Amino acid sequence: MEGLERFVYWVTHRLSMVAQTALFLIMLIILANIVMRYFWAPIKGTYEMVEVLGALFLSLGAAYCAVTRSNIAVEFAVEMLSPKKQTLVDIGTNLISFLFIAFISWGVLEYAGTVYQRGRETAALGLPLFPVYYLVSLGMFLLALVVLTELIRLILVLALKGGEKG
Amino acid sequence: MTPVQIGLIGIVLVFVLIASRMPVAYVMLVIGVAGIAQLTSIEATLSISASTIYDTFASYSLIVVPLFVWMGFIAFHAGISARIYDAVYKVMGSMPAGLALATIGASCAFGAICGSTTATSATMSAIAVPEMRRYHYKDSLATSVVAASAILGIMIPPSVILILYGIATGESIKHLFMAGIGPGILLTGLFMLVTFLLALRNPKLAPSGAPVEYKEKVRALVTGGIEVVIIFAAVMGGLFLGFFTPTEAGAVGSGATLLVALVRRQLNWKRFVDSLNAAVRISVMIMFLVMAARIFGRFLALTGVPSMLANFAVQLPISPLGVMGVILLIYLLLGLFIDALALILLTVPIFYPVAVQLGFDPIWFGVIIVLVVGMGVITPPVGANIYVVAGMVRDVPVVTIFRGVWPYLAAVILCVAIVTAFPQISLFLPDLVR
Repeated sequence: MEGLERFVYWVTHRLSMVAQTALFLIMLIILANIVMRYFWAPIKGTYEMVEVLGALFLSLGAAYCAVTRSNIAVEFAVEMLSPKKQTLVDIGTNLISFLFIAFISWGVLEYAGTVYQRGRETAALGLPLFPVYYLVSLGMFLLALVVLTELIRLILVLALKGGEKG
Repeated sequence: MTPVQIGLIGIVLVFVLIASRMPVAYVMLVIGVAGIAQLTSIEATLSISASTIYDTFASYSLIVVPLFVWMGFIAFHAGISARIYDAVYKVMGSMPAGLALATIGASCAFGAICGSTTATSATMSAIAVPEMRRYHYKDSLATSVVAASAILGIMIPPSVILILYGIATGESIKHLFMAGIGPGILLTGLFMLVTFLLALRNPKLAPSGAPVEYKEKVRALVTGGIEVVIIFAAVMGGLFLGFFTPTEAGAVGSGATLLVALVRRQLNWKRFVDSLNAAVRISVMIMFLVMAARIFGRFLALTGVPSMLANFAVQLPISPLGVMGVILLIYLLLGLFIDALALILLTVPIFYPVAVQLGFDPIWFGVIIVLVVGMGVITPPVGANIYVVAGMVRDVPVVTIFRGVWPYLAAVILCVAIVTAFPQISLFLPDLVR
């Protein structure tokens, strides 16, 4: 189990570095476009480049956000329960989350196939759009993997320790 | 079951799942997807979900969020707030309760380059609380003034919560930023008045600091305040005068803050990476919330609940102001338990049509609800800012901070009442360009 957790953390952490780079590049491209617009002409395809990098940023950052528990949750009600009951509630909510996120990841994957078949491209630069859809699907898949890892951990905690450290 | 019944069940389930510690974004995603599937078909649900996720993730206009979030984290990691505090402290420190007044002034100025309440309270806890304790300020005042002042960060532009309101409703982010300035300054004044009155009633609560020479005051203002003025003028000036879009303003803001931090030699490689890392975590969290709220909003729109509620509110035998009072009370109660960001995205699809149908200005409504949910960051049991300050000042119990924060809560309520009675305080700036 620890090996799986370490692997998931390693992958999501590395991908978050790509997301960080994407954010930095987004800033540079927009600034360059402002400067070029005033002194010469706007950079062709600025919107499209920012949109592709934005999809990269958010897709690759989603799983890291979950691993670092940065999502907003309301904790005080569940904290009033016993540790075992807390673990049971967490197993239930993680199971629901996993099923839906995996379902959506599959949905985006299917949609990416349709986009590929139709050969959709960006307007100015003619960049193919299907890789971006596959990337978004990958981001959702990794998020589902993070939730699944947490679900397995919680089940093990319940089975081995009676939910004491859930 | 009728679509309206499905919608109402969905809303109840949202609150049940939120209470079960499930991340709010996942809750909205799950209920939104399940609800759309119930009302349409699995194929339609997959198509709607996939296109909504893609449209949110690959959106030029939404990139404004990560850029402004990053701007705040650069300022935070570069220690720009420390110089701001030093400048305001030298000017106001020798007055009665001067250090507390300086904390409020510095939070207001820091809010002009950082839209996060937690970043502001964490910074001020580290800088201002030790200084106030050195001058024997009571812990309850020293800590609560830091926690409360951080609210100013969500009113003074750039405000991430106002951006989210704009994204959720389609209202102009530029107009929302303009509308936040008046109430932000009013709230700063009210916080200062409360602090001054508390110190006047009990001088032991907040003794005066050491006197500072006039020349040193001027020097501190020039060296500490100039960068905030430059960044704020570049970002908001360019946006308000129409030189660039909100997304471009975000890029100019993060670029200018980065430049100032580098010129001042206050940003090494580690701090730079830390600022990017924090920006990824927080802005992805926010954008995921936005995406989930959009899917939940699509579900609600399919059920017809928002329009039903709007029609119901218009036909109620009470005045529109009375209905607004009920809406604000609901926000106040929900704000006790749910984080401001999540609460805005969750409820705006429900209450925005009601406010518009009743004839309220949507920009004013945005400012008012941001003020009301802002109270949630200093009220028990969730009060994020209180826990941030308690985490930074470990020997002060949380209860002491909660006890000290009540006068500031009263100031926020007074601010809401004043801006409700005189909407021009908020609207005079956007009305100049509308």
